[in-house]
Amino acid sequence: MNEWIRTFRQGIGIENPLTVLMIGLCATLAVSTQVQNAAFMGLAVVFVVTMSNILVSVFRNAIPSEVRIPIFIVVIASFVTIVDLVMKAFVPGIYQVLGIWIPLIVVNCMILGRAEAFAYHNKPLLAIADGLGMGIGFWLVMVVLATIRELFGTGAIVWFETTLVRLPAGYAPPSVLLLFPGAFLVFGFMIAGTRWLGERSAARAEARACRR
Amino acid sequence: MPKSIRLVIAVLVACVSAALGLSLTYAATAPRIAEQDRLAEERSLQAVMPDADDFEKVADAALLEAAAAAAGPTDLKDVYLASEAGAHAGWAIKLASRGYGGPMQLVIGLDTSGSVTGVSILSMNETPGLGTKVLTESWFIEQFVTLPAGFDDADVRALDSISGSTRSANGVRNGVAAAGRVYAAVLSGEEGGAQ
Amino acid sequence: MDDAVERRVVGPAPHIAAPTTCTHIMLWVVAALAPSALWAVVTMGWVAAQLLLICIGVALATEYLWNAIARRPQTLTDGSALVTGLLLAMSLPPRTPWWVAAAAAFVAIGLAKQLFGGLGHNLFNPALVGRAFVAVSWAGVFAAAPSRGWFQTLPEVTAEGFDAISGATRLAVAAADRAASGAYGFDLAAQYQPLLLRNLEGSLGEVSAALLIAGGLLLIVRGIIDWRIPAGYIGTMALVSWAFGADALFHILAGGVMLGAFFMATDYVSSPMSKTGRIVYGVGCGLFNAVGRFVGAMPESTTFAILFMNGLAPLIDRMTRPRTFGWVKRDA
Repeated sequence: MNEWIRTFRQGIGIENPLTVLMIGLCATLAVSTQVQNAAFMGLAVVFVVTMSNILVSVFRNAIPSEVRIPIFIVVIASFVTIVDLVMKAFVPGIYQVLGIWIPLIVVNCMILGRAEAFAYHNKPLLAIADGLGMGIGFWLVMVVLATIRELFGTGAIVWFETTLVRLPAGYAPPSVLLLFPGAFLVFGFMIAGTRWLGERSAARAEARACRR
Repeated sequence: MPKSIRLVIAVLVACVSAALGLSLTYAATAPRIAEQDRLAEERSLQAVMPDADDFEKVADAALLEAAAAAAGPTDLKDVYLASEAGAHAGWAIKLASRGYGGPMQLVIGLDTSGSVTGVSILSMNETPGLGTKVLTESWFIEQFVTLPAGFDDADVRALDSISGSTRSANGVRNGVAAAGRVYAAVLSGEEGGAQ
Repeated sequence: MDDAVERRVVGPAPHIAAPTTCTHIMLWVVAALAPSALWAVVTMGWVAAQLLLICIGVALATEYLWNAIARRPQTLTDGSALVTGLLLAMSLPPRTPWWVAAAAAFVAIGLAKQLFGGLGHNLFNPALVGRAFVAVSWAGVFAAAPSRGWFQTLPEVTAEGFDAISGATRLAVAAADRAASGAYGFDLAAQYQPLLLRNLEGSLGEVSAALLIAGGLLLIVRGIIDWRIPAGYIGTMALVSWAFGADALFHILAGGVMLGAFFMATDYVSSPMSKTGRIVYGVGCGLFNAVGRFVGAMPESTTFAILFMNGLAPLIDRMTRPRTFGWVKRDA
């Protein structure tokens, strides 16, 4: 069980796919202009990475290593298509906004990366922990990024036509935050922030170890 | 069993089971998707012509071809015949105009005299908060109603744009101008209820 | 021995110490720009002075605060922040709201310069990054100069000047004319004189091309900047304008070309070092500026043309690296 929790936490923290491993950035930077879109995109990724991890892990002994990559891709593409169809049927509004980015989850290297680096070598239970951890880590960073960009780039956060937060009227939002340069900028600061946090906690752990 | 055959079988099994899973999902969601599409279309048509109660897609190939030619660089999708209480009330023109982030799907409602009854944006991929001002600044869409009957490109160009979202605003304006050309070239000569 | 001179330009160590310091260079740049800045204040009025003060003040303050917080030695005296603030102010329209100008100066120093590691490490020209940031962020400010808040308490400039400033610039009118009919609706040749001497449209730095040219020539004569960059820039600009069938003289006098060619593109840190590289770089700036004007969505593109070439400068340097001593060319 400890092992499970450790694996799960790794994806959110020290091995976060976005701020640490920096994979799967393309869709992240493109979709994170609105919290609402980022949240659903993130959910889709959580689902796909967890499901593909489970499947790859369960059949890891049956998948010959020579053809593992094509098989991973087939597995991932199937789950992405399922998400695509389900979103189209049940949340058409979101589906319309996310558009091409949902099918493009197939080539999000984070998902293939987890199948290849983790699920193919580990038991299903651990693979679930890894998939959930990585997925939630992705979701969190994406939503935080989108929150900053939407709040400061438009002056308000709107969740399905309901305004959750609105900055005072005197604030003139710099629209650069909504464009790609702004995405890179905010994301750069987030990476710096996680690095700083990581270094601080490492230094603390060391100080604790010395005291003992 | 030779190794290569084992590999082929592994990939084959993976593909077949994926196909199976997908066809099941498709079968489960297809009716709902079709229903959603139909609802969305109905809502968009209703939005541009609130008074009309029935819309019928025009199937006349010659008419559509002439209309597509008149729409010029803008990509004409469909033309609908709108009627109110059985009488011909106007047209709804669905087209895709180029915005900043790709095609913007627009529906433009025209009454029988050729003036705009409403414009709605079905889908677009404009920058949120910037290009999407064409939607959130409602005066922009509403100003098209003031166009005179039988308006032309110059009339549309005289309308206001949105500073900071010029390309998106031009996408909508070009779409409306194309609808005006379609009306002038094709629809104005068509006899309303005649099928 | 041309070859020997070629090698001396960016020779490797050892170097001979010269009295030319960073502060020295920066002060010459300020001196060369000062007449244009003063003329802008005289013709455009108090608004221009306020803009200059805001930009320079915020630039210096940001530099000071950054160094204080990051516990680095203070670098205010090298004059680079002063030059950045001054250049930034010259690149903004006079009625830019104070908070936009302040944001631009903050971004220029904080983001484009200090985050990259301070003077000498910035990949892009800080003043231009600051300008690009606000130009993209608050496009409305640049599309139509607003007259809200801060300005209303200010003495108005002359009625004639006011109208000219809040209206579209000549370049914007020219671009609109081109788009509409392919021809110009006004006499371009009649614009030479106002563009050279007293032009109230556009940014502070567009007030007088003649003063900018004089300042630029001064810097070239003093050996502060290399003539290759402005020559390549302006020459290409004229050539491409001519190729597009436009009035070449009008197009090099209007907009940000003079300020960009003499003062922005020649920034030491973000331009190439080799002689050939500088020509290539200048030509690239001119090319992208002209193409941006004639084909792009905006009437002027100096900022982005130079920023783009800043990004290419390291590559240009690598491609035009002067030959080193001590090895024989293979299959000569």
